[in-house]
Amino acid sequence: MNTLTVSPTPHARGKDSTQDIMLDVILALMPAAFAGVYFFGQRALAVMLVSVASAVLFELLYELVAKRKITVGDYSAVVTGMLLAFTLPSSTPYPMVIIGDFVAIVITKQLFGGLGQNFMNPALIGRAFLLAAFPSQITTWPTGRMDLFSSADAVTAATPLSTEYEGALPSLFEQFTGRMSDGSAIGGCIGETCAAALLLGGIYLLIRRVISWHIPAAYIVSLALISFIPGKNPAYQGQPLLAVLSGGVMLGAIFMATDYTTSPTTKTGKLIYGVGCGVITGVIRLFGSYPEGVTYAILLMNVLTPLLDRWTMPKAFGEVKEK
Amino acid sequence: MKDFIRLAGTLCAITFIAAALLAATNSLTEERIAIAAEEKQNAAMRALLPEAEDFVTLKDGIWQAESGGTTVGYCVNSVTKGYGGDIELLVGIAADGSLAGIEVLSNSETAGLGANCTKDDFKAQFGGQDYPISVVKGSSGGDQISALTGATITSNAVAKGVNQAFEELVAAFDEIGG
Amino acid sequence: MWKTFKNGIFDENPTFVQLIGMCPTLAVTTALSNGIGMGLSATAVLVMSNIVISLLRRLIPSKVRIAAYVAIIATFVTMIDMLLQAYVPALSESLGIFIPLIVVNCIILARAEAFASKNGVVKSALDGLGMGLGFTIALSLISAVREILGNGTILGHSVGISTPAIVMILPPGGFLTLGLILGIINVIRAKKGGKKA
Repeated sequence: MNTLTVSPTPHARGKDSTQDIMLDVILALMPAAFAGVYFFGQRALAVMLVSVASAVLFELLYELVAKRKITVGDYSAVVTGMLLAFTLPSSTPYPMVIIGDFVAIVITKQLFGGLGQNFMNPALIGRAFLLAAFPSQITTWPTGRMDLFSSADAVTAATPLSTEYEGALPSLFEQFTGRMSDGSAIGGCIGETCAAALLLGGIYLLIRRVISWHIPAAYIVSLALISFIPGKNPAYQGQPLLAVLSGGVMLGAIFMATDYTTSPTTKTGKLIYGVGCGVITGVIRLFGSYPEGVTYAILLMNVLTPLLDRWTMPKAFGEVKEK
Repeated sequence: MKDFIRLAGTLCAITFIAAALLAATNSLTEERIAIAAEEKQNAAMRALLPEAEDFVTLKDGIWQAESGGTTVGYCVNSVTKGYGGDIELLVGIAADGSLAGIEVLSNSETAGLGANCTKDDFKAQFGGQDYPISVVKGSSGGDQISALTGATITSNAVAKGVNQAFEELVAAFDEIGG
Repeated sequence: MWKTFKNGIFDENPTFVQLIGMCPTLAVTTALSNGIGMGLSATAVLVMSNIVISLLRRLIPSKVRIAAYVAIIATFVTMIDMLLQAYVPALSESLGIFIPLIVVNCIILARAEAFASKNGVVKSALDGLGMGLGFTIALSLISAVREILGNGTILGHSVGISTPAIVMILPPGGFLTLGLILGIINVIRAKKGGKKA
């Protein structure tokens, strides 16, 4: 006679493993990776490879030293390494890339317990650390391709978001593709320049249901609305499309803010979280001393995620509000 | 009531002894602190105007540097608002009106960024400049000061403090009719 | 006697085990010379205040003891501040506001309250010395790490790092360094003692 198996819910499980999801994300990142190499040349590719390799290596080493289960097979370290490389200029010296990966993987992810335990986005912490540690190297944007070994003599420009940017703002089409009409790239990080490629990846993730629309939509819409407020950079005022296509917004909204571990699980929570990201990004851009605020906006909302989850958790059937 | 007097009395006795100790320490160190401050000021002024033999106070915060009876320059104390608070500068101005050099006496700028304004590379740029001083980002060219990396606000503040020193010196001349 | 002295350095290290006096720990440890200077100044105050409070422990009524301790500690701190200004102006300048702030460093008040008010003079002096040295060692360790990584120097001498990570001498670097050192110490203690510290 068969024994009746009694187990707690959920009984119906999705067949998606962490590995499948991460592979989907890697696939979705590919268009932007190609765009990055197209615009910034071999060195962009090298930065990505160095970053991915060191992220995986740090994960492996830590897990060996701490005698934890080896989880490099779930590809999450690959995603972290790629995302970190995407947020760096193509001229970033390799040792700095490796330091960023160390901070992302060992300090932000593994020390807090590994995948699913980190309370902030590892790649963004890696970038925030590098930005605070090496401010001049991380805010020098090459606008053209670089060979592997040339690191100093590329033409650089301020990001158009900066108040120090000289020249006309990129047109909407230029901002959308990342390619200026003279053939150079818009000054920016490897992965953020081409909004079109990022959107392509975003659509793929939406179709595959890896991410839901709530966070990116709330983020982008709220930032677009904020662009009507006058700030330190008058050229951007009243240019909602330019505002959301520029800087790291697309990369942040689609790939960073939607990280499962550090974003809310409820729909209301996701919407509040997205709006929060948009508002903070906008406020930093309008009034802050940094030209771009995506990194800090998402990190700050990461910290609020547990609270948002608690506030917006639906009441269980029959639950009575505690007095 | 008796308790109250005992409490107050004990505290009073402790603070009385404390005050006596402090007064003693103060009388012991007061002179040396003043000398140390003056030495620091003089050392800074001498570094800016090495040929000067003597510094005569023109008015509070402005000194006239003399050598063998002739005036070789002036030193002006100037306070300017930086990124992290006040920056206190000592500005050396040569007799011909050009800038002899600057010294940062105190600052509370961000370590590693704005605090680099105390480094020789940055300060050396000021020597030989003329009023008014302006700051550019990137490479330094001729009559401009190249800003510290990542610390434009500090660089501008220092330049402003230097210009302020020139203005103060001119105002002082007007006042005494020199 | 030896145990009383050792206690402050290892088992009850004020910074790494008791986690008190965090404000100066995080704020002044941007260079090794600052860490050592702060640590030794606090040690001097700690030893003297422990001695005096231990001597007066039967005279000070318990109702006003905190006020009395604060007055005694503040006196010593002010004296040290004046002496530093007079004889080591450079150190006094780089430690700035943190010397006067030794008054509110809770290590000193904590030792006065927890130890000196209950123990004899010699023991209290040793306790103050141990705690003070423990504090000094902790500050030196943190500030050495931060100076090397954040400024590329140790005691002002270059260690050959061409682009140091500025963040390490900024406030976040203080928290990071303290956290990582605490983590390492706890791992070692857990391995050695077999139980949680």
